[in-house]
Amino acid sequence: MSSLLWILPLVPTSFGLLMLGVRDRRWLNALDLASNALVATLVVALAQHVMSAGPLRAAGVFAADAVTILFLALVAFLGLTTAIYTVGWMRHKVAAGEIPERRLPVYFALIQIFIATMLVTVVADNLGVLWIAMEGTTITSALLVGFARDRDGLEAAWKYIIVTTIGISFGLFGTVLIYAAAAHAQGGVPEGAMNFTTIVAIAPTLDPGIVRIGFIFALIGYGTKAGLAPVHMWLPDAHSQAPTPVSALLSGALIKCALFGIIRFHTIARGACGPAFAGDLLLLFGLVSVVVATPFILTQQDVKRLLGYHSVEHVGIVAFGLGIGGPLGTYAALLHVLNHGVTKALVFFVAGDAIGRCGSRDMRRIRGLLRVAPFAGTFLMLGAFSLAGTPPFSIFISELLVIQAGLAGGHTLAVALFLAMVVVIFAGLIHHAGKMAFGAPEPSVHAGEEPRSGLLAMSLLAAVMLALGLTVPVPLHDVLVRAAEVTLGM
Amino acid sequence: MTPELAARLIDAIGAFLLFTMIHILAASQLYRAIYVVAAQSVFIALAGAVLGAATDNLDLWIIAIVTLLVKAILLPWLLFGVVRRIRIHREIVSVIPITVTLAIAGVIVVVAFHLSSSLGSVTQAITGNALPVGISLTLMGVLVMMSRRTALVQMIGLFASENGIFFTAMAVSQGMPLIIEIGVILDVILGALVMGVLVLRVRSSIDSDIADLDRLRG
Repeated sequence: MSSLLWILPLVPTSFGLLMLGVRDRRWLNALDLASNALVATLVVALAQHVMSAGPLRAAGVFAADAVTILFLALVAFLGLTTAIYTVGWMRHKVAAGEIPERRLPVYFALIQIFIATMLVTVVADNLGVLWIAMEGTTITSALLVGFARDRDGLEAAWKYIIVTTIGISFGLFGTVLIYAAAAHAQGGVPEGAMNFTTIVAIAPTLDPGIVRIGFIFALIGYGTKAGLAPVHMWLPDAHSQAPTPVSALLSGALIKCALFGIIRFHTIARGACGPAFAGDLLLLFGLVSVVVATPFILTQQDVKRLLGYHSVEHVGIVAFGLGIGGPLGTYAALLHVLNHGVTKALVFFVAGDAIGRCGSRDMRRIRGLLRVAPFAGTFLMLGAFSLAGTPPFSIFISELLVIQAGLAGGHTLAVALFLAMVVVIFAGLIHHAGKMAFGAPEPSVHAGEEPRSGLLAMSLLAAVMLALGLTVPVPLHDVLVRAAEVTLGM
Repeated sequence: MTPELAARLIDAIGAFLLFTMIHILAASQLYRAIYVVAAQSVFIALAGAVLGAATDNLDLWIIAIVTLLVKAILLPWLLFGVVRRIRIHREIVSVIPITVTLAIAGVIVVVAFHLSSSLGSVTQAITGNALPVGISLTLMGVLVMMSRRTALVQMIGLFASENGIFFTAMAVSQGMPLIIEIGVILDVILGALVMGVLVLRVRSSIDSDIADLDRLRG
């Protein structure tokens, strides 16, 4: 079974290389779908094995526990829905002449390699491999962010690659420091001193001083990549300038992979220095992210930038939940990872559709979406209500659990501030979304049919979003409970 | 080589590394900054060789050679290539006055040494002063990137910053596992290539420095 961990990232890698030799758009879409469907199938098999027979390890390089399964499920599901959405989206882009057909193989190949690097990130046991894969995601996705080669896209791609590369190099320093601590604790034996499973097992014997510095470096590093304030400046640029399917993957899946890195170091730091140190830092950065994102969400005019700032807010909520800690707070944070990923991919798809119809990303010019595209308009309202934290959608549940855990943990002031921000953001978002969905469309707006593939992708995401709002299914609940235990080092 | 001698050599190399870093911070010409970061990488390779001899670890020798080839030859050559293609020889314009930058650099070094001396016995796991020097280099690299709005200087700052990490990583017990080190270097090369492509693309399409673009805000 552990060979599955090697096969998993190899699937998109080999499909990606194969795609470089394919010219036809329909074939490329078919291969894209096949690759992602295969990855999803493997992830399901892996999940069943891990949940019934316990964690897997492969040669000290890869490993899979419940946390891995959760993130794998998110990456695989978003990969698949994005592949479905891309079918109609790409047909439109090629027909409109916005993407020349000869550049398609490179686009699809980059997407596959990008997904492969994300898969390696979350199955990595060796913290060095985790880092290498994380930097690999930056390199591949920077090319995708600047794929249109226009001025703004290139500016965003540059900021993205330069800020996250220097940021993530702090993560490497953090890894080196933890490695030094682990090698020292093993009496100078370096074997296994970089493996998460080994380090967690000896965590109580690590020198707390150096682990503290290592955790701060790792938090800055992976936090930059996750878009935690105050090192989030690149995120609204990159996520708004990227092609829409890439935006969905960046916001839905990639920043969650960075959170995976933070979770791993959090577990190590908890073991070595007790829960307070790492928890308080995460709580602080989470709260700062929510607060910093709020004014930008209220005053935003560009719909994709708006969604970018929402990602800063929601990554903040995850960090906040992790910081509150305890089984409930951690459970809520992990559930929020899933909920936000699914919802954010949905709203990016809708936004991409609306931009295509109105010919503008300015929300003042996107009007009456319900009238010109009834399905997309409906999904917009559903997605916005979910993103804003309204019942009966999934994000409401995880936010409620975060608040509950915060109050139970005695963080009354932090929770009060958090609630105030969430209420303000709710008002701002519903105001923006309402205007886009209702109102009279401008005469220039392109009514036209809604592509079936796009609607299928949105329906899948919306179904999960609604289902998770009504109930957390038992298998998922088990994964989350196990994942929270792993995160807490139990 | 005895461990004491290795520690003394590492400390000496660390001093040279800090010296080259100050030069990069104060550099007013692009060419000079590239030469200095190449020289800094030679010192990193030298450190790898010293530690390889001290620990009898072949992996460290390989890492030293790879560092020399990639960071001291390949990457500077790539930077010079980009400079030639975009034909700029202009002076580096600093956003922060140079005296302020150097003062901040001084503070960074003092804080880094203070921080590592506060650690307990665990610092034995890292040879000599490699930890504070590595932290200083990493932070000063960020300082270089923040104080200039020239794409190539930002890349130089990034490479210098990564040198700091390599230096510390080599000095940890037996160095990092070889395969990880190779993977990291591969990332560095690929990242540098993508950055180079982006710089050239902006230069050829809108004739501007990519780091100078600032239309995306708010």
